[in-house]
Amino acid sequence: MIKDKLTNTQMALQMFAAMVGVGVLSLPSVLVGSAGVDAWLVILLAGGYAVIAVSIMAYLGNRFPGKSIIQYAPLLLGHVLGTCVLLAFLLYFLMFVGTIVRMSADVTKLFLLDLTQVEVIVLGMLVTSTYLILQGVNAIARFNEFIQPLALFALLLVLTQTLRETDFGRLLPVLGDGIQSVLQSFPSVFFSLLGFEILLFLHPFMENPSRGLQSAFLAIGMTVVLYALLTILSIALMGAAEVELIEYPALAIIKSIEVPGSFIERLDSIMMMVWVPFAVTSIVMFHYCASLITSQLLGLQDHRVVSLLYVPIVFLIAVLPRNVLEVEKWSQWTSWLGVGLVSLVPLSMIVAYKWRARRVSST
Amino acid sequence: MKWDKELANRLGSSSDFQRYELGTEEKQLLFFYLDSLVNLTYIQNQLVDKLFQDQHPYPLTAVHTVDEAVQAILEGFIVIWSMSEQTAYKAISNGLESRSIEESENESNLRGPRDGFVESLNTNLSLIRRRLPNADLHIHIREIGRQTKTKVALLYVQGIVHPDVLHEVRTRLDTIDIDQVLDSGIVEQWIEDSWVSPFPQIQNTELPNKVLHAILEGRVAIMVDGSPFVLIVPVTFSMLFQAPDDYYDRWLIGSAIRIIRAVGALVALFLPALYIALISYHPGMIPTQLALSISATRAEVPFPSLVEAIAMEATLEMLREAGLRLPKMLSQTVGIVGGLVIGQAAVEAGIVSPVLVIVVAITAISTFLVPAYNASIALRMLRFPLMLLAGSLGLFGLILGALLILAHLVSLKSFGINYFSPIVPYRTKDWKDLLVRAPLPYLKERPEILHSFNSKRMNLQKRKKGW
Repeated sequence: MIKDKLTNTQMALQMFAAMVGVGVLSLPSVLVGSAGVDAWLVILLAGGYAVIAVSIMAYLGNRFPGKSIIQYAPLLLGHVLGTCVLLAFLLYFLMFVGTIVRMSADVTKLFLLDLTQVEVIVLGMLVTSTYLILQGVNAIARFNEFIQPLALFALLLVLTQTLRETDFGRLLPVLGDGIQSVLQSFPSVFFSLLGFEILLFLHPFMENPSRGLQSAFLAIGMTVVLYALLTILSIALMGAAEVELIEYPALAIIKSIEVPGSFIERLDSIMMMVWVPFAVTSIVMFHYCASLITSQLLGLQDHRVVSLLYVPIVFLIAVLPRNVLEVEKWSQWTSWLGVGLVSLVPLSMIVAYKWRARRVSST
Repeated sequence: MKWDKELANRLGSSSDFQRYELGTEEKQLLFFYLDSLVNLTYIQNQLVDKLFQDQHPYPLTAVHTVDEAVQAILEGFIVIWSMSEQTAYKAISNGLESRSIEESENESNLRGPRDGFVESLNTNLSLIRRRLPNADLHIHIREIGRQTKTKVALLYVQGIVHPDVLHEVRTRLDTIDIDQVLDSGIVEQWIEDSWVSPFPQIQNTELPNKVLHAILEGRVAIMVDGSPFVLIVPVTFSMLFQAPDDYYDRWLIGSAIRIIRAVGALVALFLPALYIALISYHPGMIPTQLALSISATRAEVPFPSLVEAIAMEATLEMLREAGLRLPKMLSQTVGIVGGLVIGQAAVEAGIVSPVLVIVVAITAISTFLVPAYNASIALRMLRFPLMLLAGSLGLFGLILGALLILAHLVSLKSFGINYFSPIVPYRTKDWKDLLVRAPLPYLKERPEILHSFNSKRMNLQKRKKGW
């Protein structure tokens, strides 16, 4: 009677959880740095690209009902290449988890716990995320279903308070630097949307897999709108030149708000409360997918042992970089790996699928 | 006379076993019973008279084997051996004393029926039957407990309950193999889903109305002989914050009370931890004026806020527990000593700050808002780890703690039903009866989460608007 399968809403929120993470705080600064005032346009463009990529993924998933990429990659690309692709995904996920944890810990240290060791903060986050991962994919889905809308609502509520001091004239001129710079900054923007590839792995858990694409569109739509909103507000509030210099513009704009008659002195505390769940859920999604790949490749029934084994590895990845610059470098590598995987793998697999289908039909 | 000897053999070692011979030449009867379980006056005035007056065969149940006879005697029946017929009968001896129905002390309600369950299973069943004269109310009684042979009754309404839920409850009850079932708590702990969880996954109640409400929604009730606490399964988290009054009062009142309870639960769980986090890590987040006045009161306090808060909260818990077990007269003294003397004196001695006393007092009051006692205990216990987290990692630790609790809650299940439903996974239809109790006409369907077969429970067509 109780079908423990992911509903469409849950799937959308899972993907949203994976996509929105640490980026929320630093994104506008990165974007504006590369694309100037047109940063929000680039986000829309990147969203369009994500939609194409995710469509291919959903198409593949629907062709192999009940199977995830872990099962059909070896079928389509051959055993060796397929396994290599999965291992690449595994590496990417583990790196991703490590860097997100580290970046989150850095931000937390900066704003909340300036005397605490980074390692302690990393450990705190990992304990929380691992506990959730051990409960299985459906519990994760329910968790996201609860926390994401709540966090999003709180975030938007705080953002409305910034509207009084905005000057949208700062967003002009649109396309003042020409389309060239927009296109050039495309890759760095696309980094921030990474996370939708978990559809490849979670598709078979859906109650109604044919609607997976719909959920993915919803998730990408929500993320793109949220990011564009954050970027537009940051620019409108501070101007592009300033946004570029500030490391965490989203916090900066919220810090600038003074709410008359409120009990809470600074709204950035609320922002941090919203942001920690965002970070933890991204960690959870990637860590879960990593343990899923390994356990299914090894033919294990359960992902739990593997996910526990990955905790020390992720911890090491998180604490190895010595400073922010190194973290930045690691994160760049991870992102490039991710972009490569997300762009090339679905494409090559769909080619392999079509080729195979044609061969089958011709014989 | 095989029976005579056999019974004496088995039961004779107990002093309360009695054997009496009565009768005339043509009609001779042997009586076997346990003194402690029968009402002698009743036997002499009613039973014996009737047995000898009546020319008809005895209007009693025949007993065929010695085992049956022993069991009947042990259960308080009187076994009668008729010499002439060479058969045994058992008769009700009307002797088992039980408490009369009274108002429940633990669950008092302002509006609604006052009677509460008692220890006798039959009385309890009659309380339910009387309110639901419906053949679809099925009651299945089984015996559980190797030694105690306790009667355990399963109650549900056929046609409303989902068979999978019923099946799950039955299979779990079948697995119970234990010496003694002296209270429904033993059954509860055996059949609950997760024994590590601090949250109760089975609801217990003393109110017949609560049970009826539950079984008419499609849940199953479990009654244990000898226990006034009836179990209700499956349970969702939100149920623990609801009381029957919510439905009997008008909807605005019911909703307002529910919202207050939800706020109370959050305050009970998080307020002391939040205090610690803000005072010791993020004083900048409190409005300046308030921060200054708090720090002024804290200037003389020699302890860090974590130690201060934990000491006060622990004292509070001790006081509460002390008041619970003492006679009523004494517990008032405990209240005065604890509340006034310790609170006041601790502040004046400069050991704790007055702000903390306020925080602790608000927390204490908030925990009493939760109607289910075991749920309120769970929240109270979780407060301490949260305080430790807040004391070691500040606001960040508090958030992590909250996320951990949430992760635990969403992973729990109660008899196949998600514990945190209908909140997640979204069952928007059931949200009408969650934080807000919608007006009665909007509650025309049974909760969706229970997958009841017969989901309609009202027909609004006959009800006119605006008479």
